Amino acid sequence: MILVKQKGRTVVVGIGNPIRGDDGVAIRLVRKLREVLPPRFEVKESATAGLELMETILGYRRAILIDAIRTPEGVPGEVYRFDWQDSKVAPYLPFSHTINLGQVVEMGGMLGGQEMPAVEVLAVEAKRLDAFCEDLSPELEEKLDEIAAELRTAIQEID
Amino acid sequence: MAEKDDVSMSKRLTIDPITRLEGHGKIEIFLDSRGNVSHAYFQVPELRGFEKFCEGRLAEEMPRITPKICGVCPTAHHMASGKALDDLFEVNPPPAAKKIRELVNSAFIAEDHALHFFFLGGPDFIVGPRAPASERNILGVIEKVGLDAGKQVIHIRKRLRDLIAKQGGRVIHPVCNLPGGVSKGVSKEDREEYIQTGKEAVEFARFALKTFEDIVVQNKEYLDLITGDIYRHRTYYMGLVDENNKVNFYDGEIRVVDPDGKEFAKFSPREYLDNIEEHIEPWSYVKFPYLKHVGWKGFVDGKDSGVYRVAPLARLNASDGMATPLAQEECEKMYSTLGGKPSHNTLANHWARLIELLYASERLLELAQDEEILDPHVLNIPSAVPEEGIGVVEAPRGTLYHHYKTDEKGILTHVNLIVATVNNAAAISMSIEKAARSLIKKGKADDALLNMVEMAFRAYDPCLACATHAIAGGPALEITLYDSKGEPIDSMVNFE
Repeated sequence: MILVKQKGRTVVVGIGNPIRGDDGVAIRLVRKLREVLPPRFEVKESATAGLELMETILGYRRAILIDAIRTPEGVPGEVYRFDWQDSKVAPYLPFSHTINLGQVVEMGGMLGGQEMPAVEVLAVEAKRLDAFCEDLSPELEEKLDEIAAELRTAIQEID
Repeated sequence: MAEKDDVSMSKRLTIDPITRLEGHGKIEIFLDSRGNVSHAYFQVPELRGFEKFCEGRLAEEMPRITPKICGVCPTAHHMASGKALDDLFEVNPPPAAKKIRELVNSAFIAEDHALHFFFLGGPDFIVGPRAPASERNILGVIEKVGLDAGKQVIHIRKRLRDLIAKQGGRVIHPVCNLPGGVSKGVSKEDREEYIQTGKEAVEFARFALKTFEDIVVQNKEYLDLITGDIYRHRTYYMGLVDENNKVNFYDGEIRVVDPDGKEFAKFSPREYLDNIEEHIEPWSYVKFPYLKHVGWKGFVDGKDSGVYRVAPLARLNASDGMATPLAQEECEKMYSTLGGKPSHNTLANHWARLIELLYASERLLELAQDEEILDPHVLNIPSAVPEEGIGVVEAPRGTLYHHYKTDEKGILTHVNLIVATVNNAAAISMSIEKAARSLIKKGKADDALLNMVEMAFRAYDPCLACATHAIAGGPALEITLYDSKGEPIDSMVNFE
């Protein structure tokens, strides 16, 4: 029905909006990662999460999501490997349509008629997420290659 | 997600973030010294700077930029923007181009409405307003309506989105609209597919209405909730209508009816600023639009207050009905059940939304079956020197205004957008406050009651997705707490 089987492949999805400043950092990063990751990884960009995301990752063996994050004491550019199933964190995953990641995964399995991929979330600390601009904060822009390298290592550790 | 405080300790209740909402928002409920509701506010963390971001760019970029405001209403922005460019460059698209745009917009509205009923607002009724919060979600809905019905929702959504992707170029951020028309005509082969999609969408909409009838209308408790005073406000209503005053999502004039249902105003997009003004409150980034010729009287309803509402129920109230037969039949049935027209029952938005789902599906089918849609002439090349353009469409959540001014080279010098949810901002605050007053007494509020307050708000299907989607959020998720004197006493972000 809605599935295109990707058999055994891993998809890396950058989530963000490139005209929303640091919100677009994951998009910029996956464009770099696309050039350097081995062919077993498929790299995609996604403007939204929620149902859109379900359709993007369904059919893969594993999905590695990269998104921006802002934490109270965070330093821009820090990379976190995110335990999205942590009960303290899960309720705060305000994906579009507010279907949280757990529900997306479970629903995909129910409606798609097959297992959803194993999902991992990598998050990059952002500085500002509240303005319209095409540029990243200077702190992120200057570290972009460094962050991409860190993500590449993390991705290959995961898979 | 609700935090409840003991009345003896403090004087506030906060529901944050609002669950099952597109984007983020915050409801603040202020209690008096007795623990009863004093005021309630709906906070929208509106993004600042979009207009400035656009200034200095070429106007023709706007249909590609504005859909990126969010991933929820991109097609509506693309349509309003395309129409604003037609006006700006003084060029009238060929008939086939207008039909193609309306076809794409109809597919979008049908898809969006279906999603809302089953996955966002639906849990309130399908699973039940008093069901545990852990069950009031999309998975609870699937459990209640069955796996096959859940699959149908996903299936029809895919069919409709395939149409948008094929005709619009991309599904999330379509690129088909150009000043004077569209970039691509409809092939015979695609048209056959669209006809099939239209037929399936009509059947799906009828199934959705039947589900609503069985689960909601036939349930006295739910019907009483819809028609009761808790969720009722007598306001003005606004919507786009065709030459026969029937609901139209893509084109026509803006019609406003008063709380008695009498036509109060009917104006062209160019006259919107003669009819709408915006009120500013210190506690909100959102400007509250109101009817200029009635005036701002505060967050109150009635004929003397300029507060108006948009979105499905408002569109039906502001029109003389639906232009397609099955939707018209359902529309008559709804008003007959609700006790006449206009209906002031906020929760009836869910019903009206499904009637619009049926209308959008029927209209999609009509357009796909129209021979003229195959005409390859889909673009008139503009030649006028641009100056000012205004485009208005109906987005799923209400009337959407795009207004651009440029220099003689088409470089934007001024941009003003009134997005659908903002039109409803004042009414949403009023609805939340009224529901809170009715349901929270002496500081007593359990999770189900708080959900029923949220229901007042979800009925509008407010879209705050122009706020950040990021995992930890931005200022959108900041919680500010106030005591009964209105002084802020605490502030926190969602990850602390």
